[in-house]
Amino acid sequence: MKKTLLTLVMLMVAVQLWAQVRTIRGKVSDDAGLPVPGATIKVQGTDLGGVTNLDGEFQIANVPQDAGFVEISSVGYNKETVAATGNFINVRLNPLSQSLQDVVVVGYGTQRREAVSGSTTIVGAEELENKPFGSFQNMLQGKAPGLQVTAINGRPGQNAYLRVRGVGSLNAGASPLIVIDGQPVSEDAYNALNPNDIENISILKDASTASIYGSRASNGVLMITTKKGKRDKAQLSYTFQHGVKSKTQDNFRLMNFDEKLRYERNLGYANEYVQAYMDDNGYASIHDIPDAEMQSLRSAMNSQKTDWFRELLRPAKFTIHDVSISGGTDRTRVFFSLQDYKEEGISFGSDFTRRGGRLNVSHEFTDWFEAGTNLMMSNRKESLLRDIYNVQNPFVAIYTYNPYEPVRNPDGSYNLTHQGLSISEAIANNPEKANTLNGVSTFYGQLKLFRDLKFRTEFSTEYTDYTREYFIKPGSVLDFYTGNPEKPGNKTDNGFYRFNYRWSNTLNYTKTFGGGHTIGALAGTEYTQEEFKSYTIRSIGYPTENNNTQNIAAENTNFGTAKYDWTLASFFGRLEYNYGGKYYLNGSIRRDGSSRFAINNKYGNFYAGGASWVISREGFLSGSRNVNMLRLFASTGTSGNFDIGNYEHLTTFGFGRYNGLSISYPVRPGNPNLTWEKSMMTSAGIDFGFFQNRLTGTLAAFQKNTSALLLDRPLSSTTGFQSRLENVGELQNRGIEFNMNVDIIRTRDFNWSVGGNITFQRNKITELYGGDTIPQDAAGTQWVVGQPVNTYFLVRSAGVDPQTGRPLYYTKDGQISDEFSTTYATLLTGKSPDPRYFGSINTAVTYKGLTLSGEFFFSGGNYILNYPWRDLNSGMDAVYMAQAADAMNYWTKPGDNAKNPDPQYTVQTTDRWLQKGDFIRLRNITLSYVVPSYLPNKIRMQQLSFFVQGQNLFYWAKEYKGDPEVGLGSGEEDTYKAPGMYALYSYPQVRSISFGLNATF
Amino acid sequence: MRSYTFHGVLAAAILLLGLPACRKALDKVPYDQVPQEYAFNTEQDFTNALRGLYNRMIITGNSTATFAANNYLGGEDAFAWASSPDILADNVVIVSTGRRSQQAFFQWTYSANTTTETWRDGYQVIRLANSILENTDNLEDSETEFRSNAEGEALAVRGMAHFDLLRVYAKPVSGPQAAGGSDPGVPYVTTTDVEAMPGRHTVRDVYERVVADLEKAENLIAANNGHGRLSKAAVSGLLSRVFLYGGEWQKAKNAADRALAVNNDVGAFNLFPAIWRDETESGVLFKVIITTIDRVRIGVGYNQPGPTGIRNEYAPDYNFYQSYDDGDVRKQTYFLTNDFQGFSYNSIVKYPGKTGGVASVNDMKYLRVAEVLLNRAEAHHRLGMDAEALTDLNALRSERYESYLPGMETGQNLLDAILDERRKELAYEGHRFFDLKRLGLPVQRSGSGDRSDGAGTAPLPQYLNLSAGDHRFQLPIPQYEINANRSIIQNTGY
Repeated sequence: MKKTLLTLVMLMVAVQLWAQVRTIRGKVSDDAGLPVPGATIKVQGTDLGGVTNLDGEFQIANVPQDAGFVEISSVGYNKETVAATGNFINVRLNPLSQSLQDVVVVGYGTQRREAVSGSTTIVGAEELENKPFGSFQNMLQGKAPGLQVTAINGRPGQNAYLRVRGVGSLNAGASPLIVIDGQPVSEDAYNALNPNDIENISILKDASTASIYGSRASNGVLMITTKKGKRDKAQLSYTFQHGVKSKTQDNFRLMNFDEKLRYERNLGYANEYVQAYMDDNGYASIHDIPDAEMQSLRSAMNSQKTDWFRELLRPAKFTIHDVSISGGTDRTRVFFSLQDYKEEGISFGSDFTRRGGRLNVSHEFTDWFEAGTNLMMSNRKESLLRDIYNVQNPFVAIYTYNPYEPVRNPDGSYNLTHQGLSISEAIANNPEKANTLNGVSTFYGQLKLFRDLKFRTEFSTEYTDYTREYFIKPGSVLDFYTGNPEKPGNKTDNGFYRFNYRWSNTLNYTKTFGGGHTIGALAGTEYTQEEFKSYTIRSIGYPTENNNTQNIAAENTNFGTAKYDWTLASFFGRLEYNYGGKYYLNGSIRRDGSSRFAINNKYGNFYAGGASWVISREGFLSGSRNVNMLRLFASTGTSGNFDIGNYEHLTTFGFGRYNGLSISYPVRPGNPNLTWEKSMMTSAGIDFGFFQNRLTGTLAAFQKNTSALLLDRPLSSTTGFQSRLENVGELQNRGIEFNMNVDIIRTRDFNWSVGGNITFQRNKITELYGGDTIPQDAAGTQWVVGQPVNTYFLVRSAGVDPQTGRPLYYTKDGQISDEFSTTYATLLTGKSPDPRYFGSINTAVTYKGLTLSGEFFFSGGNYILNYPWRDLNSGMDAVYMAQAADAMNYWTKPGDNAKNPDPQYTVQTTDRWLQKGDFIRLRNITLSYVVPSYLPNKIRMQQLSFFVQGQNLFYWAKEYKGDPEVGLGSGEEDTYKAPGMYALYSYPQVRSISFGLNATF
Repeated sequence: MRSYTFHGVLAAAILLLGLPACRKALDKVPYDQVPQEYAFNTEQDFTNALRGLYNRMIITGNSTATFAANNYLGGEDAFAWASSPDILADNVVIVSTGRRSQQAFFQWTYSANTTTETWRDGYQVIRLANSILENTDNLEDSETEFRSNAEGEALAVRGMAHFDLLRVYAKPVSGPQAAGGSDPGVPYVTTTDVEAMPGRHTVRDVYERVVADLEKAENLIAANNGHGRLSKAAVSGLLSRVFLYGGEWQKAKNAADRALAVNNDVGAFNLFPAIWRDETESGVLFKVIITTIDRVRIGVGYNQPGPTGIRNEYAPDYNFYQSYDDGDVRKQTYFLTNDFQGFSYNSIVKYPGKTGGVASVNDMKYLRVAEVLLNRAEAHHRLGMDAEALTDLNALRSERYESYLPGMETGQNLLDAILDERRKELAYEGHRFFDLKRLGLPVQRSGSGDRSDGAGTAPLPQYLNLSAGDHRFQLPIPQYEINANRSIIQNTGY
């Protein structure tokens, strides 16, 4: 406002002083320093103007000597007004957000989005701020086509499984490389990251952008840029949020008190209480108890009625405080932030706290030298629960304890229940706590060598210090089961230290030649080294339950340390060329050497090439009113995957002890030919913007072929080994991605937009060594050529025989049998844990300061093996524990058409428990209000806003019982951790309701 | 312009310094392992590997972090040598208040996915034995004695492990249900080739190879390798077991003679309880030593101590429990009657933990003098030498019963008495199922309940009998092996 007023005043002055004329020349470039051709120049207060040429240069003659200001505008950029002083004007335009001119952060530099020959999605700060998650990964769900996000589980602070354009690997890592401010980081570092510090996240999916990361890029790259200070814009911002989380509702119910007791009697099972009654009254069988007596026994047990969900779960409060200060001068930029994030788990014994800060500083010391640093320190404290398949896990307990079993015995002690363990007691007496300290830093210096040549050196480090303490207090129930009565109590301390450093040096050259030719070149080297050390100490014999350091224990029963390191040495380069902002070409190459591979295979070469054509800049479209932007792009290239263990190529012997003396034994079969997994990604697509960019979107298609797959090839166990890591097999991922945004109403006070994205993807194994299948036996899946990864391999259920009540099964050749045999297991063609499609729909309505927005996330085409549902419908085998209300529907007499067989028959794991994963979820709904600025201005506040939001409030699942977003099956039982393969009582998904405010000073 | 030149030189210098040209930086070796070529050079290396054989019998995984119980002799809840062969047979009844671990074994409902670990872990031991045997040529500068003992110990372990896998996965070598000439046994592995995909040798073939390895071992191995390792007498004792299973009575007798000539101490009446707390070596020919640090709780399959008393998984079959005489030291040693959640149970306390140690952590007593004596008694009887058989049997009984009067059985009664004593003596040590199988007998459980008075929950009728010759006497070959190794065929019935 001030600026406009000033402009007007100046303009009036200028008009009055009209006298002589002159020629103004100038150059228009973008924020990346590249020329902007076709920009419109207008001299204010006159009719004079011009257009920039291919080099971004312009010239306007006959400008009055006293002309005050020049306006420069171009599609996709913010309009700039500059003072018309002197004869040469250098103008830098800032791009409008989310347009083609967005700056995409790519490896070792930035590119304008239109120069990127791929479909890069940029997720901006506004989409990440104030979302009620501890980890930014969960915030990305539904935000980008081609990026599949599945929460690992609902544990506070937990990450998500990220998959960029399908599953890129079978055995090696399948998660994208995450790069924060140029620094590839570990999971710990991004757990430590405060999501509110993120300026934006560029999701690099195509070879042309990702391939510069060579051996680490085959699963895509997420480039995170943290916030930087802005020139002349000092700002202090405070955000507060408070809310409550709870378990998402089940779409089924358990038997209640009366139902369960009736069910047990029908099945002839006498629980502890009934058995005691029978003993007292001389009944041999539960069926001998007369109905009336049974009724009064139930009434007597009424006081024991327990709602285990209510007893073991809680409304979990979370509170976030966030303060940031940013600002800058001509030469210095500073951003500083602090966060306090506190979240209770939905079960007692589960908590997450993160406290940390960030300091980003840069300073231009001279015209030719700039240096800066990004520093982050963070501390996370967690209280943890067992993620195990028994009642030591409260999320097993809620589905296991019977509704007639009390929490406590009449004498006040914990009731151990039929399971022999009270989880309430275990949580109180067996605390498990973890503490993680993270430091992530980058220091850089940048030299301008010549006009167009820059040299940059970057040194970055990542430090993690993790400690965990698990104390089984003396006198606790678990100690009686597992401990030594003479040395009660058991304490484990374990942890690790990890230090990773990276040094990269790059030369960057950009030059625009006459006639609209622009060339960019990059060359660099990089060296990365990581060291890791861990320890474990365990002792027994603790004199009190209040003291638990290792030094006071009676006996040390376990101790050990471990150590590893790896290195990566790289050379890389990139060439870019564009002509007139219309035609773009680029290519990159990288050579990586890794310590993880055998001597002859240490180095690998990776390359990529791409092109894009901005059709809307062509003459025939440049004046179009309705076709504002049209761009075609395509690229192809290779990348690798070295995400495996450290010394896998070596044939080794390890050491240990027997009866207190040294031993040795074979550890690894070794493989001297071990090398990279190689991916070849080809993709093409189109960006469009129609009707004054009210309808915008991108359509892209990709195909990724991964070869030399790193697989644990099963060996005959008679060799003494189960498997050996080898490069065998090929995998293909194909897909189509589409996203679109429509501004339906766009007025000053009222706006309504609808957007969405959808991804269709398929993977299949195209080759395995010798054309074999590789079973993943524990989870009932297989790797089979021509089939999706992890195709289910199970015995097929044929329902219930209405005459006999026996469960029926299909044999391998499709006959029906009433005997179960694992040899009947059949490949369930096309059924795998990977979704075939996923996406989101979002809408936002804004009226003045009031915004209502909602987002739905959907996913489907996948199958999940639902073990909890099997356990809850297991007839006689599980009559002693809680059961689903559905279990009451069982066969009783010939002719019954019941869902469940006669309960006396063992319930087997068949495809009966394999359920479709299709679901849609109300991911987020937010109502926010920005207070009209004159109010906060009165108290020297720039802006004040309030919001209330609901996350995961509702889901609808087609077939699946329970929350259908299944990531990790079980933390402790899972050996092969393919996301969504099966559910096994891991931490449940949560929903939340919260409110907050944001104040800017 | 001068400054630019300076910058250029500076940049070039840094770039060169930063060049990751150093090849050595890419060569990394593990901190806790050595490449195989460094594993078998000195006598100490071989001694370590020999001791490793026993460690591998109870532990799998390659560091304390990935430690797990080995399901060959160190099994806990999956197939466990100390409990599964008894759970499969008629010595126990499942307890309704337990965790129902090993339920598939009790109910004979195991599948090809239930029995993976025993196979895998058995062959893991065999691999190490073969690694030692393939490298003994490195010992050319060594004393002959050292080398022959090393070879003897490795051969003995190789034979022993193959024999046990044969007992689990194949038909019996002899007896009414004996394997036919072409019935498959298990692959007899004598190489360390990781690409090998051996087929199943016939039962007879495996038996003969076991005998050959053990006989060779008996000649090579030292008379005393110390506690927790195989020595000559143990190998002789092992041979008496193998020959008994093979129905070669004379050889069984001869092997037992050789073992008992060295050690005929069956564990005296007064010392007997101390054997199970690992306080004495009395009566033990070979055991695998398990320490607190190993954390292998081999007895956990029967029960765990709890705050409200011992929580049983399996209690002794009521009739079997009743068959022990009150004056039998084994009754007091093997069993304890205690209350749990208001009811009285007989608990199997053969693995109570060492004195002052963790519950259920005990040495795995793999071969005891008592067994060798019983092997010989049975062999004597089969050879028509009833007098000698009775002498052997009485020698054992006199150390088990308070105020014992020598028995006078003959003929079938004598055989019954030998087998009855064998069941009582070796109960809960991993013998019963294999003995029934060897003798071609069915499993017949009494059908009593799980409590100390025989009341309480009894097994369902379908879990009471396994008829002689049922295919489930042969456990299924792991599906993992069949998938990985096309040469392997599954046992019939699975």
